[in-house]
Amino acid sequence: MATHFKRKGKRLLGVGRQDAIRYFFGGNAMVSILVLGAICGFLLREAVLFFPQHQRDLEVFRLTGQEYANFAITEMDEYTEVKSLANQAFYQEMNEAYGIQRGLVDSFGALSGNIYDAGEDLIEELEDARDEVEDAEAEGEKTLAQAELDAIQAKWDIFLRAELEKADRKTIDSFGRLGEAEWQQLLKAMVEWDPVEDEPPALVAAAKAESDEGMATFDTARTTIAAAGSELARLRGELIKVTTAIKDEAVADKSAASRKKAYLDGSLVAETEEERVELRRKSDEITVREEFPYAERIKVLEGSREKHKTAVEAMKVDLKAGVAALPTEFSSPEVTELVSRIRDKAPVLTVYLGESLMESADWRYDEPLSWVYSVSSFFFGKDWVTNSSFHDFYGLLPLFTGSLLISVIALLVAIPFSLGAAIYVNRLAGPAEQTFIKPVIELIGAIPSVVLGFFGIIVLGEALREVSQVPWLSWVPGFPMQERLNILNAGLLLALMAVPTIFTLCEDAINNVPASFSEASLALGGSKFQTVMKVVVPTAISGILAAILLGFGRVIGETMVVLLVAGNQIAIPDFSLGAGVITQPAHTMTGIIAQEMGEVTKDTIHYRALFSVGLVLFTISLLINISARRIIRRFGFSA
Amino acid sequence: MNPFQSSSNARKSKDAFGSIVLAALTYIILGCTLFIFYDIAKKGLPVLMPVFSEKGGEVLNTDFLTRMPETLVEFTDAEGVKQSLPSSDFIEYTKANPDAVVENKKTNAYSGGGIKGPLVGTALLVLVCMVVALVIGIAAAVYLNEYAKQGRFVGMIRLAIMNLAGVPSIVFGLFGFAFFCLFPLIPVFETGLGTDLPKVAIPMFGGHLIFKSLGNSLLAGGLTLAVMVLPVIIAACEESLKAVPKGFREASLALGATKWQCIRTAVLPYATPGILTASVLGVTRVAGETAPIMFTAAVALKGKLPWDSPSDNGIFWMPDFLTDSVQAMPYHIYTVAARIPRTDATAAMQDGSVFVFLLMVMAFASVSIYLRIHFRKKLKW
Repeated sequence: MATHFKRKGKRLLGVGRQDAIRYFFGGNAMVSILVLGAICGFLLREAVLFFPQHQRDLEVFRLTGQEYANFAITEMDEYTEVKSLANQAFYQEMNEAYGIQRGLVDSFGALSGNIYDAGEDLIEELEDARDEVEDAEAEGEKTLAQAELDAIQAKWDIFLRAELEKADRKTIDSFGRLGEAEWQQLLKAMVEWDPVEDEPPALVAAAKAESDEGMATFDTARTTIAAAGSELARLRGELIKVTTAIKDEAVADKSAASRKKAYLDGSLVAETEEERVELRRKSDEITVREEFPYAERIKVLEGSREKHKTAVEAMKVDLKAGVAALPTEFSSPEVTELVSRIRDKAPVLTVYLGESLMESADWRYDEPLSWVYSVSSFFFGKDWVTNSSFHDFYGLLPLFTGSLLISVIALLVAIPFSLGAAIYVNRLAGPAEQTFIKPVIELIGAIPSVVLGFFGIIVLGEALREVSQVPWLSWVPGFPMQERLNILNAGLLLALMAVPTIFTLCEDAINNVPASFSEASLALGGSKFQTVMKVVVPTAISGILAAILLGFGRVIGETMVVLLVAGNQIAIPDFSLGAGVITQPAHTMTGIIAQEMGEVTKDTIHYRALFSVGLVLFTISLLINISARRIIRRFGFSA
Repeated sequence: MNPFQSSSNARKSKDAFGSIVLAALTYIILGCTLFIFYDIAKKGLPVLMPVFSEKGGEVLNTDFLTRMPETLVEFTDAEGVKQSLPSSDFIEYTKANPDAVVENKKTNAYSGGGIKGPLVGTALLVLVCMVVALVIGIAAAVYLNEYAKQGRFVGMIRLAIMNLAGVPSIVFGLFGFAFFCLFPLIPVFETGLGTDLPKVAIPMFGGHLIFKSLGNSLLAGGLTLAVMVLPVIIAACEESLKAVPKGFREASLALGATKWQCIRTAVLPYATPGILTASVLGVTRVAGETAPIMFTAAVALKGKLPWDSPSDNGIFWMPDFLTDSVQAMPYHIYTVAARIPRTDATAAMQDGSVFVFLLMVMAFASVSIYLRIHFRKKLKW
């Protein structure tokens, strides 16, 4: 019966039902491909448009002389690092070598302050009474005043004793530097304390003198180092002020034409004559220039070069003297470590200052700026500063370093665990264990990252800090940690996030190793464990590598955990700390987009800079995906 | 040497040691995971179900689930007892006791009331996202697998889709922000625009057809999430379509079925379990994501539910709640975790939200894992 093969159906505009269905599916496929293509298009467009805009921005930076001011700024920044190290070392040494003395001085300060606040009225009375005794002339008057003073004095003594009785050692001596004996001594000495004269008791004065004398050398060195920067700091402030003024003028100049027109338009439609005249006047006030006279404005910088040179040379000399004057013996290894860091950093700083000075001497405001400079100062720029009153910098390096460091730590932690688990589950565990472990590890992958970030803030951060303060762990680099939210914390959480990805793919890879391989090994007398470690795992290595790569992709693209836990400090971590660098806070590429995207205006340079960061992330993840696929295809086993 | 000699003791103990190390690594992962679940449940469960708290109380804290987030007011009353009340309750309290002593008043944003708004917002976002992603994703997968000629071009598209599945979610957020929020996408017919026309305005019927951008809205957020999850859904659906044996299609076609009849009766029913699993997996991914909705849809505080008192957004042919911003669970957690200092009073909101959210996402994740294992066992050709 031929009718069985006859296809029936209405046709609309020459399109049959089958075709319509086909077009429906095809259309949807088209939409998804278009949208996915649009992602690449949009990212690329905004990111590429960033570079010309960045170049113009940098041109203005150069023409206004802000670039010159930036030499002084960076020099000061580098110097400030050494200076704060010196301060840190000084106070730590003082606390350790003269802990009790400082404890006495500080506790006296806190204690007397508290008592003063509590007994303010009484003290005033006491003071008045004394004045009266002094002012009294007649004999009778004097005895009367004296009697009153004695009464108040007695009242004060009782009050003081009561206050001393109440004083809590823990709150007063919050660093716990005083022992019970010293505390009692201080209390005893305090009985004699006179609130009106407010002289420290002899005990405290002696302690202060002792610590001041002991720290004298260190203090001189420290103040010399601190004074080294004063001249440059002044110059820096001056340069910033002058060049920013030029920039503000130049920016205002750009909108001059449109402002003039707006006033003029306004004056045409203004209702009253007064308004009209006022607007016309405002419009006339604005002069529209063809080009902003940078050459003329930049003349204010004349003479700065000389000043800059003297300031830097003075800084070099003072710094050298200060570092040479540092004492050599310290009471704890931490201070020794800090001071040796100063000694290491000072020559580096001196060399840097010299180079910077030479570079600034060659600086010309009208030197043309190529697009290569715009690109390289994005990819290799060391600063990411936005919403600054001076100049906004868009340098990827601190963000990239942060992302990379966190990802590397996450992978270093995640690889052994997930690979070990994959081997164990696939080859060594019993079936009951398998059915239990696999779903649980898969569940990890579903934990929302914001929840993990929350856990990192509330639990892991606290726990890590407590662990880092355990005295016998102080040899671990970076311990005790200064910050609760840091690279290590974020890395550990991301390690957990990477586990399911790496585990699942490793397990697949191990599962795909042909059974004949392990059978052969077992037949040759290899034990089960030997077979797994020497035959199965090496055979699956390509799959494992791909798994690690994809795990890396997962980690570097993670946003919420790093935004919440990494500490969000935009600076290249201080690698001079060695492995301790991981206890520092950092910022990441994903974090910066999440943090700043909400508050930028469309099409501004900042908006596009964030897209450029996004494009970098996009490219990294594509490269990782493609290479993982390549590895599997080229070296992989398909069972 | 005897080839059947059993392994030496040294070998055996080395093997045993190795196995123990591997087992230890495995169980440390499990331990960490279970600890996280335990810790969150320990802190969050008493907020949701006060029976389990030390003080005891009702079985279910319905207020927490049915109130909107509010500002939390902390104060000390006349007896020196510390109290904390959501701002609306606080206003009532001061109204009821006009001469009540209120000292040390302190306010914490977002930390009082409940999580109704974020719950509803997340549900709507997931709904919009999944409707769009499933329709487009399944259809695209059917086309790629059943209709398209399997050549280089389709192979390339498939590869591109697979690679896009690995792109960080924040990049999708960036795209969604530029495309759905800022790019004028939505055609709107308006009259009486005067001379103040946007760049693209097509005059018709005495008015103009202009294009508006969506801004920070439920629709933009849902579409962004849909784009993010689309590659995952296409790939998973294609996989389950591929798993249907070729013989099914050939038999059906040989019996005279049309292409669509073949797909409808011989392919899709057998691919449904896989597609279902993929969609639940998609829900899990989407519900847990924060980054893509941070600047496309979510706001920290909103006094009303999406369907209450429509706002005037100007895009008249769309239901208002689609073009309005929403609260969402993950963003709510981000706000209370990152911006609000943790005190005894604010901890309840933080722990409770995290617990409910985790419970929600884990429920979906467990369902998807269960479905996959279940169908894998059941469907074998």
